Amino acid sequence: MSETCSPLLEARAVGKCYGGGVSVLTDVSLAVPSGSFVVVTGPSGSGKTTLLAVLGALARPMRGTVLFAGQELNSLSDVGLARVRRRIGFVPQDFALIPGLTVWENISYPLIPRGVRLADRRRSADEVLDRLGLADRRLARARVLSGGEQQRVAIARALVGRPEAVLADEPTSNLDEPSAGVVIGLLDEVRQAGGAVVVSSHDPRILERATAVCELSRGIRVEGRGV
Amino acid sequence: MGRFVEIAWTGVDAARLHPARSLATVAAVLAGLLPYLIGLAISRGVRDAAAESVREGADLYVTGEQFGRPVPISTSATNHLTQIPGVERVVPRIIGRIELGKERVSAVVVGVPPEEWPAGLECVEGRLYTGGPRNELVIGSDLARRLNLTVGSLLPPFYHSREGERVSEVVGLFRSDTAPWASRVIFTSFETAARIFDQSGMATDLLVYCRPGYETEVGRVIQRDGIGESGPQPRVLTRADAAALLDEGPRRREGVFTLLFALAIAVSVLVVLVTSGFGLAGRRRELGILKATGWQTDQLLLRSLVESLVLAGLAAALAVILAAIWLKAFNGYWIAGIFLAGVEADPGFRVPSRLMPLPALLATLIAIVVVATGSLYATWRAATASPFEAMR
Repeated sequence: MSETCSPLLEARAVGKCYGGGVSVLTDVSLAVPSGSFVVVTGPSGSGKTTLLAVLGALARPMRGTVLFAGQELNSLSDVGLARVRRRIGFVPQDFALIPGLTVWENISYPLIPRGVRLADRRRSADEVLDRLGLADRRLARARVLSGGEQQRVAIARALVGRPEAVLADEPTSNLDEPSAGVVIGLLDEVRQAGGAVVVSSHDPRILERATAVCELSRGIRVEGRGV
Repeated sequence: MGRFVEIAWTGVDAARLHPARSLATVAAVLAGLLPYLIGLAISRGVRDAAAESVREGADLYVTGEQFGRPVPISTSATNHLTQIPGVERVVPRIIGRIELGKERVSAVVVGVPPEEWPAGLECVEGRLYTGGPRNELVIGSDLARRLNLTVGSLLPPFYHSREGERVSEVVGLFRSDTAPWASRVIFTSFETAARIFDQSGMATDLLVYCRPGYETEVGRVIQRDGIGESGPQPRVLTRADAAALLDEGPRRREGVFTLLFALAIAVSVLVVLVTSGFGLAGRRRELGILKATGWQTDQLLLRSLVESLVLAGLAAALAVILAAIWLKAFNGYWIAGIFLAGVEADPGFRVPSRLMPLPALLATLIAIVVVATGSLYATWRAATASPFEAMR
């Protein structure tokens, strides 16, 4: 990772509070250049999930600024934010699948507003499902999948649009050893292709791949290397 | 264009994804639309039937009036009116209400010569009455069933007359389920009706048939010259007047019904707003997920609009189909009573009805407005929230 290249994702002194004035993030700064694999660590409630949401344009910070490819997210309209979200793949901790839709529908829905044609959506979804070992589950409803399968579908949905950045919250927490290996391999492929990966995890296999680590404690960045 | 269609198509998925909410919404809209469509169809049918009977009736209806109230008219006026140029024939008629049986069933006696028997009525059993000294009656099948009468039944005197009371005989039955007005009618000769009401030489009205084009002039002459030297002031009702008079009742009921429907729709909107809340947390999360994966607010609103159109279209189509079934198979059960005075929940006759395309179209539009009002606001609220919050 070069110190001189401009970061793809950047948080500058970001602060975020929830109802009742509970502070979740306090002046957190983070720069994620293209081609980096950043791991965010910290205990439960340290603000890891909120930091990923703020970086992924899913939540607005109350203080500070977030930039994606040099664009300040706070200044973007609804359409502008939607366009940024299409360039970022997000894997929530609870998978966030639509239970009544099939696996293939869950994966291909994000491609519809981008104008991807049905045949191309099918091909892209099948490719990523094959990689994640879910080809035989493509017509199953999301509600009948196991936790591990749901997690892999959430990862497939994040990767199907070939995003420039992937933000994943505990992406291997429900996976067995081989599946976790596949997921980590896919995330690393994104990095190798020039994308940025930010993962919240304590998984040592993920930490092994990290080009940078950011540690949070009670919403405050306490330590970090490379970011 | 392709993207627009594909986003719109996901609205169909949305209706399928929440079956309980979709069913509750369709049911709420259906509950408002169905009685409205049935009511309007019956109202239209009644108006058509009235127009038909007016077309088949006389050109002018002449009644007497004294002190601003209707009074019987002497049959001697018949000869006077026949002399007016343009008049083809004049038929005296008696119409009066009686009560029959221990349960005092209300019936309407119509006394006209047998040759004036209404064209649309069918005598299904026995024969028509004759004009002789016997009291011969032809009764509607519904009334006969209520009073347990058949052809040949004898009715002990049920009236008082200066000429003396006579036994009456049922000589025929007609199908009373063919017209709304026929269910309680007893047809008899003019003379028998005069005996029953003890009004010898009097008629309730005179039916005047004119040569084509003479109706207005004849009516004017009757109004100007009267109906005889000592007769009451005549009141002339033209065919157009009769049509307007018969149309007035259903139209007034239609107005009241539309007002009730407006209230029902207001309730439906509230119900749909409540049903939109069914699984609201799940829907909010779903919209948050879509927003997080790159959907825009306008695209989510389009999806929701299509979902509303699907549900509204389904509700409207079901309303039209069920209205047709209700009218044909259940004969407008219960709702017919609102439009036809004195008719019970289960009418004893074929309720006239005509389902028109315009009310069906209007019902569809109303359904769309109701469903869209209920769901678009909820969608907009969820779609404008931060995806991270909506997904929690």
